[in-house]
Order: sequence, then structure tokens, then C-alpha cells
Amino acid sequence: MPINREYIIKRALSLVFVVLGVVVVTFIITRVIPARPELLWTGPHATIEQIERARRELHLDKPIHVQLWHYFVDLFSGNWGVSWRTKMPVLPSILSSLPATIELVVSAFILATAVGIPLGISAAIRRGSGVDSVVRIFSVVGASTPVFWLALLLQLAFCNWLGLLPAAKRVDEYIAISTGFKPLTGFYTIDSVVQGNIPVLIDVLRRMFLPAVVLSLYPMCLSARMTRALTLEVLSELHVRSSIAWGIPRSRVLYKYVLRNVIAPVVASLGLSFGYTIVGAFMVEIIFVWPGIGYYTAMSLLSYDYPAIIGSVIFVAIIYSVINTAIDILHATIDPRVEL
Amino acid sequence: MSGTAILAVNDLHIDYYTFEGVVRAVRGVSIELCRGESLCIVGESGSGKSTIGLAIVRALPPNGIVARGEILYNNVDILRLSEEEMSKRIRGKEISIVFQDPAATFNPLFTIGEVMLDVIAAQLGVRDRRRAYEHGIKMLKLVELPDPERVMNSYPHELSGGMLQRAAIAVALSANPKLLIADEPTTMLDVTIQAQVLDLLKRLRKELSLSMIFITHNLGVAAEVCDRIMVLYAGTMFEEGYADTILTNPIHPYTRKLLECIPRASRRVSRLRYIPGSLPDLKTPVSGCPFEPRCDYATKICSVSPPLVRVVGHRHRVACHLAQEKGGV
Repeated sequence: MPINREYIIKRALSLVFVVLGVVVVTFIITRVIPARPELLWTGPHATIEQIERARRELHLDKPIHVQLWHYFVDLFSGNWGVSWRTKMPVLPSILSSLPATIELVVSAFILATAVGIPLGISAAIRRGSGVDSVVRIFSVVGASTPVFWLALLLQLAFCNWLGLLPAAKRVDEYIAISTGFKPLTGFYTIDSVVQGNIPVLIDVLRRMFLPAVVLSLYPMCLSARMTRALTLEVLSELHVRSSIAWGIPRSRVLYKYVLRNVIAPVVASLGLSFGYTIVGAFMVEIIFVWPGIGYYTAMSLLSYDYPAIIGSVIFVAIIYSVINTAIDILHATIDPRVEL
Repeated sequence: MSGTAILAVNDLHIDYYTFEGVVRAVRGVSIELCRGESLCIVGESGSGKSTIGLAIVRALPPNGIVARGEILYNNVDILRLSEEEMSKRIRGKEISIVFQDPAATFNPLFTIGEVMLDVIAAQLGVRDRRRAYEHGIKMLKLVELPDPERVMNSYPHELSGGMLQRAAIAVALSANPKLLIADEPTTMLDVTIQAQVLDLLKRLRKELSLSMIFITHNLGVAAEVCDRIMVLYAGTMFEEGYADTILTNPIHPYTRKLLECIPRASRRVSRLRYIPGSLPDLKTPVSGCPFEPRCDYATKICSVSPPLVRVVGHRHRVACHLAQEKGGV
């Protein structure tokens, strides 16, 4: 498990370049869209003079490379700009919406691995059986189901027809206020547990259930399919037969030795599916009115809110890079042959 | 059945189920191994020799099925034992195995020590990690590995092929088995290392009074390590007897051909000898002798009916129509 400081420094440096690249690309893309964001800034009843002044204030009258330069200077002095839509500073808005998304995505990933990996293993052990067929069909159908369609369908079924679950938001304000719930970290599950607030915890979990299930479907199916294929491959390898032949009980060989061989590459592949899940989170957050970074970005996109768009994209890029670094490190701790 | 037989394999048939059809890899092989004896199973690739070894420890791949026959270990048919009984009573502490590819025998994600301690814990019931560790170190010293502590904590990719094979032998022997199956243990090693590992196996066999089944395609190696030799071809036994009998007085045409193919430094020939032709397709049934297409002495009967096993001398058996039966002892 050779993780050295050099590797961490290298990844941190590459993160800086990733962010620079993302800023440039996003900046150019937003600027070439034929839109007039100054109208949003000034409001519907602005005079032509007011609009012209807004263009100057927002530097929209300057060439694009000058605009980019201004943006970089502001960015590195900690000024991420003010949202043209909400008139609020971008950075605090993003930071306050981040926990909602992280809580949702992490729950989805825990659910995906907790269900997907056992499903894949049980399918592989009983290859060709009914369980195997069900898992195989489920993993193909699930992975090819569009996230937004499933989200709408489940919302319709569980919230509208059956009336079992609330359809939107992270917590019921009435329950939160009446029980004196205070969001400390922004992760409501942690906050409610820390405060021993059971009614809020139940409400939060009930509201998170559907979005997390929808979001977990793709990584769940991916991990189930990969786990099944990898387990079959590992089971046919010589070291499984030799361990059994030397006298290690079959169950121990399966759950200690084979399992680790399977989990290492599955974990590595989950890092790749993380990007897909973030995109899914955007849709899920809109449908379930989940006040996370996806919801914030989507609203900003719809109103050509340039500073907010670029700010959120930078954050998504940072999260993606950090998660992949973390998964690389995790992979290296599981597999001694991986050197970072 | 002789009373001192530690292993008796009777009329063993093993099939592999593949997409192309059923491969009849072993077709009625019988083995008798006395306590302390070593038997070499010699054959070309695909003759079924490794399959027999795997069947004796019940470690055939999932698509390999024993269709018929019995494997008596100390008069108990291990084919009738449950998977659990096999692991509890037989594997490791009675019968163990060393494989051809030392790098693939070890799980790449675990140290040699982890595997070894699991074998010791499961078979010798040593739950105390430190005592198990000391026993492991003792085994690594027994196979002449320098720096056993380092080997114990090494991952397979950190060791050379020769070291891994020694470690594999140590793990296989760590629960004191009485019978060791060595499945081409030197084939994938460098020539100089091969000789060392062979010497090691010979020494261990004497010191631990092991019975051994040594599987190889190399008659020269066979002569060096074993008391007895069995020649296998296309899943059937062609000839079996004491090593010196087989080497000096082979009866079966195939055995003779094999012997001619051993290159010798004393015999100056311009080209290496070989047996023209190849093994028959094991998916299609053979009506006569499987060697008939390649045999110089084949007669009409050879393509019609399979040769029966004849006893031609003291513990010397041959399956050939041309062999003359002698009263066996």
C-alpha cells in the first residue's frame, strides 16, 4: 500500500489544472450562448440606459478574454461573484447547498454497493439459476432506465397514488421548527442524530428514500453486473482451487479471499460511475425539489446566471477529482500491486 | 487390494463439460500407491494427468465431473465424502497438492503468511496467531527459504518463481499431509531452479516419509524422483511399472517412443526426435487403441477394440494388443 506524499502533491496540482480547464471551457460556453443576461440583472422594467449600464458593470461589453481575465482575478481573491438571479454571493450559496447533494449521493452509493455487490456474488455462485437470471435482467434493465423517468414514475406511484412518502424537499419545516431542529453541518441525518431528534430523522429519511433509490439504481446495476462477472472470473482462477485444496474451508475462501479480489476492481469502477451519478443528481434534485447543488445549477442554467453556473461547475469538478483520488487510494489499500 | 495401499484409484472416468462438447479427459484409470511410495504419472499435454491429480484432492474446476470410479484413500472413498468432510478430514492434513504455476497458486492480494496461517488454523486447529506463525516459519525453513520472516510477509508479486514454488510446497506440507500430489512442480521454473526443487522434493519425501504422486511430461524427471512410473495417453493408462523396468524394458510402443525422445548429451543426433501426429480429439469416442494412428506396429485389431490391461511382470501392467501376458504376482 505505497501511498506517498509525492502522489498527493501530484494529484493536488493536477486538480488545479483541471479546475483552470473547466473554468475556461465553461466560461467560453456560457459566453457564446446567444443570450442577454443583463436583462435578468436589471429586471423587466429597465430602461435602455439602465441595460447599457448593466452591460458595463457586468463587463459584458468587453471582449471575452478580458472578461475571463477579470473572472480569474476575482476568483483567486476569493470573490466568486454575485448570482445574477438571486443577487446573493455565489460561494456561500454553493457551500450551503453542497451538504444536501453530498448526503444524497453518498446515501445512493452506500445503497448501491450494499445491494449491488451481494446481488452480483449470489448470482455468480448460483450461475445459471433463477437468481442469476433475475439479477442479470435487473442489472441490464436498471442500468438502461433513464433517471428522470424513473424519478417521475416513483414519485407518481409512492407520493401521489399510494400517498406513502412526501414528494419533495429535505425536511418538513413544521416538524423542524416545532422540535427545535438546527442544521449544524447541513447533513440533516447527522444533525438530527446528534441532536437526538427522532421525528426529524424519520422525516428526513422518508424524504431521502425515493431520490436515493432512484440515484442508486445505475451504480447498483453496474456494481451487480461487474461483481457477477468478476466473481465468475476469480472463481475459475487457480489460487481459489489451490487454497481449497490446501485445506482452507470453501466458505472462508469465498468470503475472505475471493471477495477481496472482486471488490478491488468494483470499487475502482464506481469512481467512474460517479460522474454519471452527479448528472443524475441534477435531474433527481429538480424533480424532488432537493435544495442541493444540482438544483442550484439547474436554476442558474435556466436563467443564464453566469457566475452561479461557473461556480457550481468548478465545485462539481473539484468533487469529482477528490472522489476519484479517494477511490484510487482505496484501491491501492485493497490491492498491494497498485502503486500510486 | 494390497493392505499397505494408501491410495487406490479404481476405474476413474472424468469428463469436462465445455461449449464444444463433453471432453472425456480420463477414461478408466486405476492407480495403486503403497505407503511411502512415489508414483510418476507421465504424459503429453492433454493426457489427463493433471486432471487425475485434481480429482484426488477434489479440486476439479466446476465443469469437471467424475463420471465413474472410486478414489480410496486408506480404504475410504473420498468421492463419497461431503465437501465439508473433505475440508475437515482430508485436504491439507492427509492429501495436499503443489501446482505447476507458482505465481497463479497464490492469491495476489494476500501475503504468503495469511494463506499459510489459514491452512494451519483450519487443519491443525492452531488458533493462536503466534504459535501458528512460528509453525509457518518452521515450514519455510524446511523448504530452505532464506529470510522466512520476509517471505511470510511478502505478496506473491514480490517473490521469484522458485521462491514461490518453495513457499507453495511449505504451505502444502504445513498440516503434515501423508500424500503429496506434485502437479508438474518444476515445469515453469528455470532449469537450475528445477534441479533444486526436485532435490528438495526428494529430500522432503524421505524426511517426512511422504507418499507422492508426481505428475510430469518429462520421463527424465520421472526417472529421477520416483519409484514407479505410469504412462498416460489420451486419458488411458498405457504402461505402469517400477521406474527401472519402464526405463530399461518398456513394453508399450508409446513408452519406447517416449524414451527415444529424451535428448541425451552422449548421443549425438542432428535433430531432436519426436512422435509424429498428435493426441486424438477427446470429445469423440475412440473404438480401438487411442495410439493406433501414430503407432508403427498397429494391426487390424488395434483400430477395432480397445486393448485390455495385461500384467506382464511384477507390478508391471501394459495396455497393448501386442503385449504378451505373463502370470502377474
